[in-house]
Amino acid sequence: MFQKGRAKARLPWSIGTFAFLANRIAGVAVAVYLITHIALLGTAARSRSGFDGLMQKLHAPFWLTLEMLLVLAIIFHASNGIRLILIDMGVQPRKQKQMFWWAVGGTAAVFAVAAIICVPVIIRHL
Amino acid sequence: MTVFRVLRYSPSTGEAWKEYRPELKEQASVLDGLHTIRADHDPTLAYRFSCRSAVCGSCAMWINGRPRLACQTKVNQLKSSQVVIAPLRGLPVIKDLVVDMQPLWDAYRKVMPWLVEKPNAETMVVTKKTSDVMEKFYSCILCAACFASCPEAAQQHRYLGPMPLLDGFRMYVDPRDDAKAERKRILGGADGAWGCHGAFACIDACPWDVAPVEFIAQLRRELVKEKFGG
Repeated sequence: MFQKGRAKARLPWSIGTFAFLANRIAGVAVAVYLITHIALLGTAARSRSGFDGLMQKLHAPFWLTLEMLLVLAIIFHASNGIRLILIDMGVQPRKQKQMFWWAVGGTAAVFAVAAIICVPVIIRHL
Repeated sequence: MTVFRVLRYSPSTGEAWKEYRPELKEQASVLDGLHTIRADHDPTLAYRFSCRSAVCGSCAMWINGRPRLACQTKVNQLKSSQVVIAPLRGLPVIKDLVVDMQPLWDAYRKVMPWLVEKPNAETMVVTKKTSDVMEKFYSCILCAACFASCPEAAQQHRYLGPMPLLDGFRMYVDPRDDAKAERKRILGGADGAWGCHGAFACIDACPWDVAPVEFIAQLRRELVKEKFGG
């Protein structure tokens, strides 16, 4: 419908645009994880030794760190998603920036709890 | 002295930034600056303007990183030694700061921005509640600032965009309108209200504080209510 003009879409970098991008990236990351997770479990479920071997590999610090980032992505996506649902329901759309910071705060709080649990496990496996 | 840095373009010479140092009065607007540039420095500079009172929307352009009305934006309010001006994003450029608005008007036409009157429309009463909802739309001056700042409109060219959806909503809730089914089909599609992914850049961009996303959210609620018989 719209021709791409010479003036390319170098869009204003606002909190809303950042939240939109971050939500999209987190969502894609979670989707990719989900597919990979199901595929891996599917292959590992064929035998007990196969499953145990895979679990052992995935306890390496690298994978555990990735899991923590996954937790961060899930928490942020959920928090920002709640923000979007509230705005869709008519709750203060003009306060979307403040709501974003609330979502970030909630993400940080929940992630802190997850980190307290997970970091010792990662250290143990180093 | 404030430097005006303008993104010039012509089909023959291509794109280039040019700097000007217009002499301006203290309360001058960016539009005043462009007038001075054209009068004293470069008569070939092309830009749109009309009312000079922020009601026509003609002078919307990219000023210091976001879409603004040139007539409404005071140079001293930008608090910068440089005024960087470029044409609106997402629309083809004809020359300098003049963009081709036809794609936006094509999207606008798709939402049928006219009343398809019911037979008894003349005798119908529009309640104050409905009128209050519709009235908020009347502040929209069709300047395309919201459209130019929307990341979804920039990447998803079928998306109708904030301004057309705003007017589509105004028509959708008008009790005198007889084309509700057709409007529901247009506005309720993936390119309509559900195409908005919540970047909310339109809220900051609108020079009249209309906040199109507020109406898009309301439109979505109306569509869901209709779907589930609420």
